[in-house]
Amino acid sequence: MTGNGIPEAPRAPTIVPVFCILALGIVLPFVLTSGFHIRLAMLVWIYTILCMGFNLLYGYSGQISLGQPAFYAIGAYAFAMLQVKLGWSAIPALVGSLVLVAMISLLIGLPLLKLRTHYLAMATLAFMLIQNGVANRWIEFTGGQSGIGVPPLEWGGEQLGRTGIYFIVLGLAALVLILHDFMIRSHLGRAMQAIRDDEMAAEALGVRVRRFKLRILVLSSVMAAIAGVCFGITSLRVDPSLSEFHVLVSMLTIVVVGGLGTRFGPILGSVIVVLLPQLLTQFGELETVMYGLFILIFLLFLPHGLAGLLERWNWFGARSADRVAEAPAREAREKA
Amino acid sequence: MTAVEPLLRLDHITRRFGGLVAVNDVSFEVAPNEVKGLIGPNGAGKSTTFDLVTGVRPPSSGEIFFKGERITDQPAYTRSPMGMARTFQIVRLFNGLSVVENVQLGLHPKFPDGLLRSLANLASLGAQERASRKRAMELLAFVGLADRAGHRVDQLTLGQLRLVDIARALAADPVLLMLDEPAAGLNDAETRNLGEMLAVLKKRGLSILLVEHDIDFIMKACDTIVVMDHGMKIADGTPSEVSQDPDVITAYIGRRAANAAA
Repeated sequence: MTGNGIPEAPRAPTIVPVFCILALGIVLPFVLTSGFHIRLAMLVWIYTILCMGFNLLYGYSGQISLGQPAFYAIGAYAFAMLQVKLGWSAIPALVGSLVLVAMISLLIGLPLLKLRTHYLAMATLAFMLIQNGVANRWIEFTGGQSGIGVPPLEWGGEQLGRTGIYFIVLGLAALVLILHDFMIRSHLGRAMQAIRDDEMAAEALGVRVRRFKLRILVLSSVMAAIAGVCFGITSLRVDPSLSEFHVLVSMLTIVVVGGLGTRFGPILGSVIVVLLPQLLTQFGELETVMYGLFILIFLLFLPHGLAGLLERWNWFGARSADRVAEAPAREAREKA
Repeated sequence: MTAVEPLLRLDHITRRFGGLVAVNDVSFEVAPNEVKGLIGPNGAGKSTTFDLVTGVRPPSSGEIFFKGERITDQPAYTRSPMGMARTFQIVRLFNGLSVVENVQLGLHPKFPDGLLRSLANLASLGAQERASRKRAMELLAFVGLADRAGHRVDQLTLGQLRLVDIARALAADPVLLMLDEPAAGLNDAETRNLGEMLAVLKKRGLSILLVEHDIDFIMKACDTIVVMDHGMKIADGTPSEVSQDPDVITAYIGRRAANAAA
């Protein structure tokens, strides 16, 4: 075991699957003809962006924040209001809303990240309820129930078509997807998982745990805000429904169905959660029951979600750390 | 400072927990390339002393110096970049990561800090990652676990986990290695193996401070030994000096002898 006999390290995952997903995203609008289908595709990307932030924060770093929908809503509202009330154009409004959300999440995170597990979950949930209350009740400022209209995007003086909007959403999703993947595959991903598994050991190895957690919270909130801006430019209206419970439930369903703490869990989960109800409409009144049944089946038989299943089959070419458990069993089988 | 400056110096360290004085006015030094043992009966204050040096908590009074720098109240994450690495009494590896990734985490302070700085150094990051993997594999080969690199840590035996913990600590290229009961739970062969490994590390120039219960192990492995009892230092010297010290015999070895006789 000494000398020249040092074995090769196990192969590290590559970025190739991310580019495959993005290539699929580029082809999609040319395959899908109906506007309804494109709208669904955009919704998939929006939820993917939202859930990638949550995946980094909870799946990889172990910090459960239920306040993500609030940052999603604040991002969307800020994007709309900066344009409508201050007359900013779209790109400065996008940047402005992301900066605003980053600052708010920093302020929220400073005191809250001292809390752990249930306490952090409850505190961030309370923040979401407050945000939703403000959006609903401070009618002069937020427009109340009916919300605020978002000016349609323009390109060269003309209003941007549906395909154009789709590609803007895809571009932002690509940015988040690549960042998400970079974080996971780099030393930053290792540090996040170290914090999740054992904060004290992480600190002893030189990881600045508190500062790192705060940065991850800010990053995931900014990702939620990007999702919110995408929602704004696709639906042309932001209203309090962005931070209602159903968004939180969808987000949790996506990460569980897709696979918490996996590279491709958020996108796989988003595809299921957005498309499944559409496929189930044929069951008429039973749709909700069937949806619930499907989710239940996922939880029972795929505890690591869809991504866990695919990684077990080694679909992505390399084993994730999460799945290395399978390796010795496979070796044993091969020997036998 | 005259002569050789000590690598680690504890200067009249006291730590109180409410009314309890866990560590009472303790001073000792670890010289460069010295293997020092810290022993004492249960509740003697060894683990608390270890925690104070590694920055888990600060002392109530007194000062700690490492490489001549005052580190008394510096947080734990500052130790690794300075060249002090530690292992844990109850092995604390990261269960979600593979064995090699656990060892790579020992190199974390050498990587760019945070997302923005990492993106700014994107060009060199790939090479750095490959180098860190290679280094981690070398260390795993050193402790004899290279063939386990891709496994999850929860598939290893306790003896193997301790070795991964040591490999992870060595990844940071420390000058001082702090081992918290490294032989606890190991069988005889594993303990012998550990002893040989520490001898190799000493030959490579490392200093080691180890807390240990296994008297036979510590007598063989250490150049000098500090004995603590009830939070106070009662002896400090070579293994043979310490084992003949009347205070030590009464406080510790005498108690064992008395128990054995009974």
